[in-house]
Amino acid sequence: MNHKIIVESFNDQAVYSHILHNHCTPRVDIEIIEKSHEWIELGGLSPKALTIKLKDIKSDIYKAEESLKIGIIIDIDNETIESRIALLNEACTAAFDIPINIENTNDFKNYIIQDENNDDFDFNLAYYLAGLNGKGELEHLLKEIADTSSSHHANCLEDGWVKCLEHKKIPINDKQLRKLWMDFYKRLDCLTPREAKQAAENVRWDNFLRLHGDKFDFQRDIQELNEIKSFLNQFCV
Amino acid sequence: MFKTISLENFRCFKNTNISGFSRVNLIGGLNNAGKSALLESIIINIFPFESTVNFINNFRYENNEEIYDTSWDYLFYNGKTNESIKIKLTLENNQTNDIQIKKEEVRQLDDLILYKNFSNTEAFNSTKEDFVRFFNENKVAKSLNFYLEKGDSLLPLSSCTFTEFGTLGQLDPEHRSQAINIGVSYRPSKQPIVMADLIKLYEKSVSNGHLGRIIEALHLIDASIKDIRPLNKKLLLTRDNENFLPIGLFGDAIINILDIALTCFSLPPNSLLIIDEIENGIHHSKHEVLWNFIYKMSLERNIQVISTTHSIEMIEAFNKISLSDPTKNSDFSYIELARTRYNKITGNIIEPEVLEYKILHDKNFRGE
Repeated sequence: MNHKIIVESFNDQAVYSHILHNHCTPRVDIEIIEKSHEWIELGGLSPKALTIKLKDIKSDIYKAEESLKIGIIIDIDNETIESRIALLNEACTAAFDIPINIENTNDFKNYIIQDENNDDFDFNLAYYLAGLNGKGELEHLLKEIADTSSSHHANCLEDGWVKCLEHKKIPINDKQLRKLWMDFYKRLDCLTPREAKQAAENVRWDNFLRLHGDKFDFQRDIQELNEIKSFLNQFCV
Repeated sequence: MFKTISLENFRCFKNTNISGFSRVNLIGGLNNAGKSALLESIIINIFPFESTVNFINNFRYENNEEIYDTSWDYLFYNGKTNESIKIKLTLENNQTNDIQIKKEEVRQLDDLILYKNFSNTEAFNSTKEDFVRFFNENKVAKSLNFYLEKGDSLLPLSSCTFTEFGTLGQLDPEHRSQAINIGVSYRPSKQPIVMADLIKLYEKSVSNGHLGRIIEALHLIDASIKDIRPLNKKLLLTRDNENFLPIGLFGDAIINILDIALTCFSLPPNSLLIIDEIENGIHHSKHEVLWNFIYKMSLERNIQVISTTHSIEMIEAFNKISLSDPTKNSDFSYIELARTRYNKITGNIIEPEVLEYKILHDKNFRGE
């Protein structure tokens, strides 16, 4: 039975999978085993969806030959770290039917549940909250580590397009701008003319990172990036 | 209607509790997961007799009287006959029916657990001499003994003793009256439906005024069927403007549905309908209507349904009906039988929404 990492979307899955498979340091003499963990998309965070997915995992815990590691990665968005942890604790408590009281991110805690036979089944659970400087989402971090030395199309969105809209008093929110920036960056600044012919496929995060993973500096010494790697590293064995 | 079953030392169950049975239950699991054994345990709990063991062994190719002794051993987990089998059902009113089965040695007449009940009966006098002679030769007979656990007491219910010259069955009606008494119909996966039985059920159902409902059941499979009638030890069906033809020509699904419907009509209220491998012979496009029909019957007749399946389509249809109306949720339970890391069988009740997620995302929910 594979370990489980729960993420919010296909895009998140692609990015974390890329980091995991390219930047984790395997423990001594142990190589990363392909598919040694299972990604589960949340499809946009909703506590109900999260609880259903955790209950799905709960039935796997009973069948697993050894204790499972379960990681949950969600964006901080506009919430506080404390409220995000509280949300995850609440969903996990509801799903596993035991009190889950994780206080910090990136900190695995061992829990035990019992089946109807009163046998004990332990599992390890930890959370990671994605963002930059204590807020936001994964894309904030990706933009931070993007190679912007020649990202003219994306940069001109911020320099010109935004100002033009402001002049016309048409509102645009940060999230929309960030999504557009990332799309312009991948589609117009990074894809080769040949790749651009199949842009719809090639800007998908899994395909893009396979083609142009070097356009993001995953080696940068940024606290958030280091923490993600440290979190994912727990799944490298 | 029972809510919980606890099994100890029975067939492949070392020690298993399953809670959360509802009105309509579907059990999924791998081959050899214990699905059929679970059904057998329910039947033995309600009919704690050697004849029940003999009946269920018929479907496991273990019905030869010469191998009574060993076929009894296979009832016990890993052949551990030095420990009791314990099968406990807990009903919704918290009443329990605790049955214990022991394989015990009999070296003298007094070892027969119900000897006092029948020692002076005329029927026993004819075989008593055989037993005495048998024991005088220092031979040991084997008994399969059934007990009802009441508080700290074990009340003998029935017994079957096997010797080289035959078997001796014993029953204690007084103790039996203290155990639960509910109707059960069991259809093992390997049991062919006997036409004579089907006709009897048909006649009983028709005399109780259910002919219209019988046609309704047949319409689940074939809406063009207009009538049904028995003739010359056969059931005949007719479609629009066609001659009556034997039901066997209409395929297995019609016979299976008819059998389920007639059984429901014939069972007394508060009974159990137990069907092993319910999908047998029924096309997947008919699974939803089948579950709807079964649910309707279970409500009308107050029958609890316990069924097993290997079919993903059957599970999917079951879950769709369960999710179709929030008020139905609590009337349906899907139970996954699986082995744990302790090599024990566990019964996971999977909630409808979680099961839906598992089906949609190609997850494991049949014991894998």
